[in-house]
Amino acid sequence: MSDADEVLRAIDQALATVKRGLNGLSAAETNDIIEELRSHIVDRAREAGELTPQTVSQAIDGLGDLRDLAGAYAAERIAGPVERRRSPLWMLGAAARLATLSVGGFVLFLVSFTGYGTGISFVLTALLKPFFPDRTGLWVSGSGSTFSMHLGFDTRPVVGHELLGWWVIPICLAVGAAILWLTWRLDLAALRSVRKRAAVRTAI
Amino acid sequence: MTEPIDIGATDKWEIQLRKGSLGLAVLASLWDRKLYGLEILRALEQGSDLMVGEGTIYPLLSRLKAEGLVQSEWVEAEAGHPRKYYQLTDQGRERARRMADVWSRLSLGLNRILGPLTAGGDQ
Repeated sequence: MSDADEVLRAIDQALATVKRGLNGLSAAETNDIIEELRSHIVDRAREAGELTPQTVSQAIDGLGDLRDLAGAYAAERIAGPVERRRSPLWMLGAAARLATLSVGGFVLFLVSFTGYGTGISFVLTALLKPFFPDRTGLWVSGSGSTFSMHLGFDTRPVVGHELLGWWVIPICLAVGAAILWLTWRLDLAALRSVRKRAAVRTAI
Repeated sequence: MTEPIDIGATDKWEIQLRKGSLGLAVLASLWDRKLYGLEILRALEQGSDLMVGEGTIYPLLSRLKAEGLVQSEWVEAEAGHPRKYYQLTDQGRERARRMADVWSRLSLGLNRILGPLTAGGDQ
């Protein structure tokens, strides 16, 4: 293999390592990052003289741990806007992107999805009660081994004893709002932590 | 018996200080010119005591761009490959001015307090 081929192979291998860590980013974002790093490696190697396997290797080493670098990029692009964009929908989207990068990100997305879904269900139950009083609420039926509990809206007539009556409205609104707020706070803390840890790994 | 000096804690403090000032340093380096990543690194090395890890500068530039403080454009370089140049936005200039003002006031005040430490050595 000639030096030129070896240089190209080394650069492509290094950039492939970075690219693997940019899973949660769009193709355009990924390409922009990769091409900037390619340009950096070439310029850095030429600073040392010319493009040889040794100068390219030194240029690549100068970037530090490539997985940490990819992580810092991904964290910045995904979690970076957290101080400016705090809508639950945006946070859920960011968690979904993080889910493609790590197990922790996947767990965060699952918890967020469940939290927002549960919170919305409680709020919807409260909002539907005035319109469908006989089909919305908290019911219990049966006894012993056949005991069942049902909270929410049902399209079929509900069998059983309604427990909360109209109290289901304020209770579900309060519980739903609390769950939504707690999930949002969890997302905010998690995204800030992701950003901070990525910054520490690429510290001066 | 005096406690041994905790070199580790001082190093950590210095790292945090350098990290905290890096954003301002990058904005300042772009004050009157467009630069690409490696040029910014060299400007920081030559103009200040900030030795920046090469892997640090690009995510930081990505953050500054996302915050609207810098903008970038790809330029076909004479070297034969395109380079991504950065320049300050109006918002970036305003932020840099404010940060520089805070830095100046802070360093003036600190220098006054640190006078005895830096003048007389160990006393």
